[in-house]
Amino acid sequence: MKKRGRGIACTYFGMGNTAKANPSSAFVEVCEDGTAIVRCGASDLGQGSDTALRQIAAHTLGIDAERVTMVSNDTMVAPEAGVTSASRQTYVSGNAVRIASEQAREFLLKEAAEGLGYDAVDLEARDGVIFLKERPDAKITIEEICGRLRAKGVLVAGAGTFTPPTPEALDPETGLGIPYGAYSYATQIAEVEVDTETGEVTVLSLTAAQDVGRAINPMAIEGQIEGGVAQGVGYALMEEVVVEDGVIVNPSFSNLLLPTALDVPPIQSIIVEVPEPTGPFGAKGTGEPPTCPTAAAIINAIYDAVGVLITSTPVTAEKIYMALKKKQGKEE
Amino acid sequence: MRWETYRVTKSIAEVFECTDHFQGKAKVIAGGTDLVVQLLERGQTAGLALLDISAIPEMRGIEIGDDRKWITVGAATTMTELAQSEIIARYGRALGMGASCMGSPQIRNMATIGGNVMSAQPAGDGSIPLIALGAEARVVSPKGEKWLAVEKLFVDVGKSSVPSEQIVTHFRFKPHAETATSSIQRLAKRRAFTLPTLLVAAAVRLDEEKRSFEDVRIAIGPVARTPWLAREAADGLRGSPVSHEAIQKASVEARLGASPRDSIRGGADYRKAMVEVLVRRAVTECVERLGVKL
Amino acid sequence: MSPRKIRLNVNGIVNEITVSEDTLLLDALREHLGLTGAKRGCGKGECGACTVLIDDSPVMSCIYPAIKAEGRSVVTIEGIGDDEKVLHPLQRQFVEKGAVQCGFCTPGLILSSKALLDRNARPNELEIRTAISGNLCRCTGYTKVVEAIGAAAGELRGEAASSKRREPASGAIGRSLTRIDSLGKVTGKAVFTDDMTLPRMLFAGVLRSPHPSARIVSIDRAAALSHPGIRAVLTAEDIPGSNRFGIIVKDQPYLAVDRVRFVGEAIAVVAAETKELVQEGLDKIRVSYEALPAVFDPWEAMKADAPKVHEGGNIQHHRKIRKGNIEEGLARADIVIEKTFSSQTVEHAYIEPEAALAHMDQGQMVVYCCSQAPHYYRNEIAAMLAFPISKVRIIRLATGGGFGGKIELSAQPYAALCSYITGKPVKYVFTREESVFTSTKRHAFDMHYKFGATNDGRLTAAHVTIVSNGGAYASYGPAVLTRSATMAIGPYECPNVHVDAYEVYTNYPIGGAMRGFGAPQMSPCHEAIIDEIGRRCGLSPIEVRRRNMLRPGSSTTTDQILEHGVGALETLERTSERAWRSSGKEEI
Repeated sequence: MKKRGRGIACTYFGMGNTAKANPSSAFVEVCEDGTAIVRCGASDLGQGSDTALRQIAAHTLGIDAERVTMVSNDTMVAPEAGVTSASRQTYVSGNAVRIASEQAREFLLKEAAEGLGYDAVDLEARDGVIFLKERPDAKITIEEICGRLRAKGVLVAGAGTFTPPTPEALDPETGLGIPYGAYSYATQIAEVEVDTETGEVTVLSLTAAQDVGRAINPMAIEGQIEGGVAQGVGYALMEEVVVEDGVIVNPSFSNLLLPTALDVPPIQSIIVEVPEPTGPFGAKGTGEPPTCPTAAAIINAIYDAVGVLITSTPVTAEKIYMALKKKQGKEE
Repeated sequence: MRWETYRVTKSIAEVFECTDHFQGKAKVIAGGTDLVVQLLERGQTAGLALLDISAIPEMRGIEIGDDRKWITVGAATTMTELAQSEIIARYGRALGMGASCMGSPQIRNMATIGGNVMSAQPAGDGSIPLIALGAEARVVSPKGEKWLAVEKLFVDVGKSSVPSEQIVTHFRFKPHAETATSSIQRLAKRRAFTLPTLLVAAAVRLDEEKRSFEDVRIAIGPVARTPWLAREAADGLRGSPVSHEAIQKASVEARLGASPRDSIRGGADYRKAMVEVLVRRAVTECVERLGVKL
Repeated sequence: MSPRKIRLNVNGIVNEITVSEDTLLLDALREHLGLTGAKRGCGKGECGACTVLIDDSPVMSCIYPAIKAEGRSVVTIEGIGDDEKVLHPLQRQFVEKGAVQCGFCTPGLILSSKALLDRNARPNELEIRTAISGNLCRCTGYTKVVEAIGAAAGELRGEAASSKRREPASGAIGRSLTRIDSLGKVTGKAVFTDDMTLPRMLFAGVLRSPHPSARIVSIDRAAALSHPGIRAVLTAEDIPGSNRFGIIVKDQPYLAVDRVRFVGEAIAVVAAETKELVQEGLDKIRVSYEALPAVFDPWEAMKADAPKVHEGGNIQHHRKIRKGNIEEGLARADIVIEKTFSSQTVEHAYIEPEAALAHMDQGQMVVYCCSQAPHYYRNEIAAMLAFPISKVRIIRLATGGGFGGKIELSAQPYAALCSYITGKPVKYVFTREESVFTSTKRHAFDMHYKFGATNDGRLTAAHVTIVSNGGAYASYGPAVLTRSATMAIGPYECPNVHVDAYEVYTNYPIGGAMRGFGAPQMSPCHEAIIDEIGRRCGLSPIEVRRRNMLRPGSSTTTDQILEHGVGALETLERTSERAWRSSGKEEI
């Protein structure tokens, strides 16, 4: 018999390394043609930090993201930006890039202010132009500004560093304190079908919502949510490193059992944006939260379906079968 | 050096010439999906000659004889070819089902039914259905040929009874009659690309009125060091009326007769319990496919 | 073995190359023809990263003998399209739909998809997923990959593109820009570390302990040193600077001195002229060990008489949280629920194994590698070589996944050390087994939870004990432990919280950073208990969470007052609206 169930799980996740400084730094250079180069040592492993940082720089400078080039992979060129971990790059390196971009933008605004005859504070940079906030048709292109600055012998560059606002380590006795400057929140709902005779679980659907503060690049965020949830499914149902007398006995992919495309349902992601004031444009991190609630949602869904709570992961068919048998035994 | 020579052979005669020439240090290889992995793990194998038979024309192909007495499958037929074959789907259903579950698409494109049987694993996705279908293997040596029941080719885990100087060139089995079909049930820890925790193949033939079981064969693995024929369970069904009770009785017999061990793919108790479930489901599926309402 | 000339038809061009009898097609393509789009993820045909087409059918080239491919047509990703201006619809859609993340599995995925679309112009979701079931992807979760394949099928059928995303009217934030690096990944041009070679490059390998706990009595390198083709055999005494590393506590040696603490611990490193000679050199090193008692279970390791993994004792870290008064909180509760959970050891299983290529360039040590932490690598390698930091340069090439497992140093220091000693470029690429044996893992936790709540479902007390199996060295253990303690009760407000979390050394594989850092282990516990509280109080799973959820003004487990950016309730409401009601579970 097949029984269906639904389960929900919520988690939260602090952004950045716990209760300690974990700074990032960045350099931004604006060239005479109005294009920009961002140098920041945040490792992009495919999660998309290069792209998100480019977008942050572009938005701050007021130019198109296509006109921003990013260098992150060479320690001779890109300054230190901490580890790509702790869901910190968008939040921490993003701020460093924003600060560096703001510093560079100062040059542009000052020059535009002179040119337009207004104060820099009344100006805004957006979509390739610098314009008067109150009267947008009073404007000048950034390209032109950069040309003028070059002619004057002014180089446009900025530097920025940022570390999350977590002043001190946690109290060693009570653990109380401020471990993180910002948190991300996630809720996931899993729908499963359990074969009551074999214990096999099919995950029919997974819906995952995550508060990212502000979505710098929605498609990249979805990619992180979907990838994280898939790892959560593997963690919940099939993955395990088996160690006997200190020796890992299943060091191959055939036995480690990462989920294949047939093991994971299409994942529905929901991006929630509740602005994080300390993050760049309200953004905070995305990478880890999606992996946190998945197993919990699946375990709760299995309980909903067949009334057994499996208290060890991975939740294999065998464990479910044994638990069902035990439950049946008790009921008889 | 994992092997010293790799020869793509063009005929069975050439294989025997090479076997002779390399004096016991030759091994036949088809898709290589098992053998190459083994050799890579082993490291040095001095003097080994691999004789690739996958391109020998007479060893490929799926045919139904004009007299419809046999379905013949070349040993170098790939699992993909079996999975996609209409002849197999109609006349040897379990074999196509098993072939489509094996490994991954890439592995199915490379692996052959002959290789699967010769790797002598207790739960081969090709072996178990072949045994349920009552298939025979044509074993050829320089001196001649004979047909052997497929279940006789397994000595131990990874050990075939066919010596390295002989080759299996074909398999054959009787095509499903009008009132016959076969099915598999497979349990595994992941939906693809994973060896089975348990694999059951059942082949069933009902009488003309579809009221009783005329012939039944049930093959199961891994519950022993070689593929296991659940003879008592199958014998019990033969002659019985087609009913839930009869099928359930046979499933229980199969469970009682099976002795799996604990393994990384599943505990012994669990797999034993699953024998009953999968045998019941496999036989039931056959019966329902034949249009009988239980 | 005599070399063999073969003719391989690859991407429509017939190439005559000279191989060995046992050369695999993957190596023939990568090393003889420079077609590095096909990757070695496992070398056993178990991941699909090496997928190429043979006569239009996908195969695993890492276990396909090169000679076998003679006379057949081989197609690699470079044959699908290597011009970024002229992409195959599959390549274009993979980029457009965001189906490319690290890119290591991408060429294989595209080839498997191409084979599907060549014979099935209108595949459904199941057919697509089956066609790619032999291509493991660890980054994307497959959702966007399936979308991309469907979109490519539509494009090939001449249909108009389906609905596009709504993009903001102005500015760069909020745009779903495609990634620049995706183009290199769908064409096979992206350079991962093993795709790179330098002239006169040597190859490195490490001799690793087969024992979980042992004293090293002696190491005899004489036979290895005199083996032809072996250029260096190095042990701890050859390290010019520091022999200790660790992202938090520097407790792990690059090369063991007198003690090994886990199976796979590095003892000696060999540099050889060819990949094959590396193993021969390693086999010739004679190490004599005296086995010592080992402990694998953290509860055993915490006992006073347990074998000591490190001199300072086995409890590496103990993190406490004491908020409010737990006894009062429990006394006040109408409901008390207690549960014990355990979680498993997990492997990151990024599809690209660890790799590094190091060489000296004008007095500077340059290391090309995969990494999540290039500046950390730079600083540690500088300390190891006794170089100024400015004299070490890390160039992170395309990195095939990390998830926390490519933070700790792996192949890089050994490649650098060998390069420093030999003066030659040295490449070190892990096998899949080596990667699994030696890389850090997700900590296995034993967890005991006791929650108290009032009859209207509100938490009054939370008592949590966590014992984390830290393995032989600290790595990110202390940070995982601290984070776990702070997030132990979930996103809920509770006035009285008591947490004891222990990180314990054992002779087990090393626990380190892995995506989620303790939260995936703990969430089944608090979420099962919250559900149970709800059931006992007659509250739906949504409502019981709503009542306890952190909000602006809430105090967290560590008594931090959350001021802003608390989107917890919104994630709850929006998920349940989308996915709870539709199942017929009316009550929200």
